[in-house]
Amino acid sequence: MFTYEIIQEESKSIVKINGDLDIDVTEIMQDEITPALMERQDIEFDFSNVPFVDSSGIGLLMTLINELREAGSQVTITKVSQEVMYVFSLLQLPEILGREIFVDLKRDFEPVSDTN
Amino acid sequence: MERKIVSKGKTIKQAVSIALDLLNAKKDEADIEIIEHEKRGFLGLGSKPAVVRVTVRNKDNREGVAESLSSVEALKQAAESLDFPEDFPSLSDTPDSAAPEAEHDLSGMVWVSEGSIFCKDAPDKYPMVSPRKGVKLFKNGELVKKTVIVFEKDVLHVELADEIVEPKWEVTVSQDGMAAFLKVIPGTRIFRRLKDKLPSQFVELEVTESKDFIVIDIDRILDRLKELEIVHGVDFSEIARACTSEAEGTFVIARGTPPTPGKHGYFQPTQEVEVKKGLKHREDGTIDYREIQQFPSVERGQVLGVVQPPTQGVPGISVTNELVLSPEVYPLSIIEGKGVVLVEDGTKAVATASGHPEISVKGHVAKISVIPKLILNKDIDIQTGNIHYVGDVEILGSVQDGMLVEAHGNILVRENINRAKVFAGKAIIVQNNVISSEVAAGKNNHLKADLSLILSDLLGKMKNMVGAIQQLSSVSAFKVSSFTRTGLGPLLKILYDGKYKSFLPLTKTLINKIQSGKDALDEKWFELAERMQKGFVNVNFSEFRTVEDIQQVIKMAEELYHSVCETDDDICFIKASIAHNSEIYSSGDISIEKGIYNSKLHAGGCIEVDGFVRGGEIYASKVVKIAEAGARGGIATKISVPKNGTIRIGLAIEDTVIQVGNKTHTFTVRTSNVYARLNESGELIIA
Repeated sequence: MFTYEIIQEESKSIVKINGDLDIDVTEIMQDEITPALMERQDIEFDFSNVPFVDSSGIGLLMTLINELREAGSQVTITKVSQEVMYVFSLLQLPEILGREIFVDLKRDFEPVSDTN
Repeated sequence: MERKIVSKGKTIKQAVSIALDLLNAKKDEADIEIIEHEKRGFLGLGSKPAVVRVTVRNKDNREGVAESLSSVEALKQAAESLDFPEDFPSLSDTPDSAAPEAEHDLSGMVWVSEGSIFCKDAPDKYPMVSPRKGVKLFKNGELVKKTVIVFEKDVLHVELADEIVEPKWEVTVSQDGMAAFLKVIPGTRIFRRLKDKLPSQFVELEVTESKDFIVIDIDRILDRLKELEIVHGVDFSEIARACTSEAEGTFVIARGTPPTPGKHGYFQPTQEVEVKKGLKHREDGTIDYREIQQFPSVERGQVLGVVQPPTQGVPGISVTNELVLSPEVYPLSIIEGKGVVLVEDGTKAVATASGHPEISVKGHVAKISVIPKLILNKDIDIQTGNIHYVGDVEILGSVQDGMLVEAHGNILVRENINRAKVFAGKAIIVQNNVISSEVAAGKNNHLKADLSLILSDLLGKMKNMVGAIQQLSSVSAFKVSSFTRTGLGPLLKILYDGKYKSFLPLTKTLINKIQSGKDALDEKWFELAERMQKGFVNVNFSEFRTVEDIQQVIKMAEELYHSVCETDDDICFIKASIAHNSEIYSSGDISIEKGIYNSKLHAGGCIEVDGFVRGGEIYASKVVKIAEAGARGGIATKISVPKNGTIRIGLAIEDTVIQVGNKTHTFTVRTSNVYARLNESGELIIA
């Protein structure tokens, strides 16, 4: 079951996501989370409780982040599990969204990439 | 007197005891001189007996007498005084036979006879011997290196070792079992003997060598063949030759019977189907334009040919008596193309339309079609309109001002092309002139070349994508199960955002290219374009559900890629009599009979002009051959080939420019027999 909560800490909004980020999240993401976060300045997604992702879920996340950025928000993603981070890096999310978004990402972390 | 005797025996001991017996003396009464040690030899060959000289000291009172006798006489006496059986083997070994015939005084002399050194003391002369290099002379057991004086009492011995190098051999069988080889390195036996020397005061000791080859025992070879189970096609005379060979070598001592290859099934046309490149020449060498029938054609109902079944080969036998199968033969399967129907269980191809038969064989599959032929028995002008045709076109007249003729097959123009455009998928033959026109053969190959370029790029990217998806699917945090609901679309979208940014535009380019060439490409291409459109381009509704779907597209693309890589350049050519002020493109060869005025020619193969080139640009990827190039009026004439191409010009007039690779040359004087190419260091050679 997918749930989320938004915690307001001073100027920062922390979005705690609980559950798999997958195709089933589409409606909640589009109808609830996106409008709720619009016009917030500093947004942090807490991924500590996201065990699984799929490509639709990642697609939704990418769309959301791009929309929030267009609206002028600062977005970060934190506490990503190692496995999920591996998926992200295979899909080059740090390259697509910018490495600074993954604040936990150590400087020496090299994303896994195959030859292209 | 002293009595002496030279005696032989198997060993020194035996030789001495024979001598003492003969002299009737005891060992302590005699001086024993070993002349030669015994030699064992090899297999009884080259063995030598031991030779000793035994002298009995002062046994009687005839000493004084004996001294005045020559040694020969003394020994004769000695022998006579003995009970000497006539047939005793050592008789011939007594010094009387070994000593030289010469009856002159031997005192102070030394000589060599039958391998032994003899000498005769003299009060006023000292016989001397000198070992030559390589001769090991021992005097009384001591090695002598320089010239020495010898006395009769000295024990002289020369160490002479025979040398035996055993032959080496090896039997091997070739990998395919079709031949057995015997490699031999012959063995040798070198005999060394002291060279005979006539009596002289000074003798140089020399050694003579004689060399024998050792014959290899054939039985051992035959045993080895048995061990290796080599039984078929054994050549015994060759084995014998190998065994007695005096030179190192490898002999083929057995040959298998190779399999006779069969023949694959094939299509036997009932008539000529190949497009003939050359114009027909009359026997006197002139060209018969009226009798030209360059593009073979068939009528409706005509039998195109018969499918011949494969014929099996005959198996062979290896040297180890194993059956060696001949390569497998395959039947030819026939695909009915347009205008062709197969009858009699698919063994006969019959034309259902008239036109030009086309047989394309790929592997064990042949596609037979009849390309329809359009015959226009007059000029192409405003009245006939432009011609677009899928098959061959034959125009009995000319192509006139501003008209366009386009055909997928061959185009034959019996007269001229005047200010017009003529494009063919294959060959173009213009029996007369091309004037102020544009003519191109095999332009589709342009498209195909483009397609192959894009495809190879896309193929690499698709394969990488498959790899990436497979890798992703192996990560446990990634929900593969969602693909069954969403397909690969969402994932592809992310990939396009990442490292596959160029994939989508490239795919779209490919699809557009395919659609632009819709007349020239076969339906497989459109199938590919559709699959790629629905799978990759319409990413929100992508048809791809699994990686296998992409792999199918890759397979399809690979097949098409290979098909475009096989060039059809040899079926594309242009032939004309004269080109004037025109542009001529051929993906294969261009050949012009009489001459070219101020025209631009481009050939993927060779350009041959039997006549002249006056002005214009000539480019061929391989070879340009021109009888005469250049213009007196000063119109620029430029002939170029790539760096590995060659240019031959019978006569190059001044100001003609040639270019090979990036090296150019302008003729300042008339030059005959030009042959231009680059040498290995990239310099332009004109000779």
